[in-house]
Amino acid sequence: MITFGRATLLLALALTVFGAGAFIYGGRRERPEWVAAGRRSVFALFGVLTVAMAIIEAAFARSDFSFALVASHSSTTTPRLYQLTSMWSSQEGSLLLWVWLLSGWSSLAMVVARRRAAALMPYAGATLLVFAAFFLGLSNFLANPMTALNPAPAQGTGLQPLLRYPAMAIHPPMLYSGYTLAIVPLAFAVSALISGRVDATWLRQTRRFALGSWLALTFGILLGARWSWSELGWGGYWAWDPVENAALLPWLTGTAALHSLMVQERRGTLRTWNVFLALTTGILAVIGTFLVRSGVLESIHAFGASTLGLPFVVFIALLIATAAGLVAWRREALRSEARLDSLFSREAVFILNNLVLVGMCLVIMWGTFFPLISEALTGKRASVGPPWFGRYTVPLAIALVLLSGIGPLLAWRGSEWRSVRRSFVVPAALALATALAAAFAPLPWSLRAFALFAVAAFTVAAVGQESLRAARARQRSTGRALPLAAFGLVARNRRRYGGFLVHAGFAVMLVGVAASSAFKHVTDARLGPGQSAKVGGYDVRYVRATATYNAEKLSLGAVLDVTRNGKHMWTLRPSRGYYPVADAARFGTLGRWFEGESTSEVGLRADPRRDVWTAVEPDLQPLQSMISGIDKRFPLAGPKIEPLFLQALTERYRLDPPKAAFRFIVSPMVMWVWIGGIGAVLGGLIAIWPAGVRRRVKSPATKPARTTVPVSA
Amino acid sequence: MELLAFLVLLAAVAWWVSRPFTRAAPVAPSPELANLAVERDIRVAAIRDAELDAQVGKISGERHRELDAILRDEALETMRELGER
Repeated sequence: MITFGRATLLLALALTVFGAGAFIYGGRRERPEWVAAGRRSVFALFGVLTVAMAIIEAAFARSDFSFALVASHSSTTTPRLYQLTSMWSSQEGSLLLWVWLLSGWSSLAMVVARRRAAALMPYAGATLLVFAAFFLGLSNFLANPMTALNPAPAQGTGLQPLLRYPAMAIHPPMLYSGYTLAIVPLAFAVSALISGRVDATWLRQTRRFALGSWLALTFGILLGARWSWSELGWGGYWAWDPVENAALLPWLTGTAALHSLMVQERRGTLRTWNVFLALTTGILAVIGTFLVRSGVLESIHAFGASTLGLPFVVFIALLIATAAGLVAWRREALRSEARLDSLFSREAVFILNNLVLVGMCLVIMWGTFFPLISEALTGKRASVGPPWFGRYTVPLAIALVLLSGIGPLLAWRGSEWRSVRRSFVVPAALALATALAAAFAPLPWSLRAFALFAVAAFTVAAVGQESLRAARARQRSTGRALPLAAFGLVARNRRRYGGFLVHAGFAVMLVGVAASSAFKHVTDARLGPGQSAKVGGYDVRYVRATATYNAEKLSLGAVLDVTRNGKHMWTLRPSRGYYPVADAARFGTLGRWFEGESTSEVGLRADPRRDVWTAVEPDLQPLQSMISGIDKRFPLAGPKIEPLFLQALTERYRLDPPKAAFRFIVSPMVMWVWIGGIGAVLGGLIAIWPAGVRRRVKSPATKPARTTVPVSA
Repeated sequence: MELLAFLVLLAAVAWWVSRPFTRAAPVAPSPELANLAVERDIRVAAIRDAELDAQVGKISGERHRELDAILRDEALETMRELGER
């Protein structure tokens, strides 16, 4: 199947070249049959790449180690779920996943654009295929997932242990969906610029793709943060790691775009800005892929430092030059005549929010690329850490949360002072009460955390108040019960109330971030059984050691008793898993278990008030004499004898455990990060959900225009 | 076997992609018409939003009447243009 697979990738590349050419020729010469052939190339590309994906997934499912990709990223002992998701832990597999997702979204875009934006289709389709061609070029010539191994090994290396976590099975597809969905608005923006049709059509046609990108990135970032908190042994959910930042950058500009495109729709302004944001978000999505795949910056995610850096740099440089050239060429057409009517208008707040979001993006970009910048300027690579990012991003985040509360209180084109005053009273009073309560609570002084609590209270109150008012208004007009009226209101105004839920979720999430960052207690201790340590008002006692093994890994851990004022609270079981390498001849029967990767299994107790987090790092030194003794006497014990030695080793660790290094963290309100994040994702889903067929206004091609304005709230 | 599978895939792709050259391509709706349809949707959404803003007290009844008249004029103008085409 490998030869067939390689041929499918070449066919896919040929399709992108033909399709892009057909689109451009058809667009320039106004030949609809060529445009239709280009469009069909996009669908065919998706079909062919689906065949390629199926070939690789089938190889993973049956552990076919004649595929180098399978041999280096899976094994027969890898659990089935992770065998099927191992593909995107690799360089080659993730590039194929990227282009496969892009081909799927491109196909969807072609379906959507056919009726409403046919004029934009040729150049948008060509742009999408150029992106696909670049990634397929990498897949075919630099990182081919269909590379054969001959002879095939009997066993594979297995999936990197750190990635054996349920959220990680869908984290990469989510991020890549976010990245590839962001290419669709970019492609339509490019088409709008080339064809000179820079009105709201391209925005309207790509709005759902931009929202889809935002939604997928939000969910992907959340999954990654959850993985970091629950699986990585350092005790945090956000490290300002370059690859984390790489996902955040297009999220920030994408969020800005979702707001500013509404301003262009309603007021006809911000044309240049919207084109800029669509192009920037798409380019940042490629930069994000570049950072994770090139290994140019040191990162915990740099699973595949590779030779892909140069092609990516060239492609990104070409993208930036093309985008800048197109905007400069169409600067006259992009000029907007409309002006802001009032500072107390929703559009004014959206513009401010855009400035804050883009400001955050610039700060994070500077911090992320600082190692490269410093190396270029001074010859020495220096980096900035979390305190640097916090110093600049926290004030901006406070402003952003505040604006996300003010926006829903204001009307388009301006609100009257009396209604502004009335709308602000309750949220402002709640914000003040929250700030005072936080200031007088028995908490360490943290101006930034208290300010965030206050603005979050303002936002949640503002969103709640506006939703309740609207539900009551609908209740009055329909005579239905309040819950039914509220449901009907949301169903009829998904974009508005979905957006409100996103704002509330975002505010709640940042409350969790502020509380868990500012009021966290951390204790590192080296303990033997029976010894205790104190952290955040809790006593944690190391009760006994644990040690288990199976075909996949050897686990050494601890049972911890957590008490408060002498009262038992919880029992936690952190451990460290050691994954063996296959080469017993080189590393020894027992030694091979400690030569591979090792991961932390966190002992975690979470509730809405606080998370109690524990991790253990066993001391292997006292076991070393036993390991080397057995390895020396029984160099190749074989699979039948090996379990006996493992049994002896684990027994020894349980009965006579050496002291182990522990990290204990008590972090308040971490759960609210996930609750707020899920709320934001739900809000995004409500906003993106398509209108019912009955309510959808048919296109002019199928139905004559109505001459009355069909409105009812 | 692999060669045969690939030839079948290649033939299917070639047939699918070349079909527009062997039959009349469907006429695409005019871009202006599509633009007007987009404009119409935007205007209608703006009217609905203004109505909702008035119901929750974000704008006064007087301001709403004023705004609604402007927005409805714009929407009707767009619809008339659509109807004429």
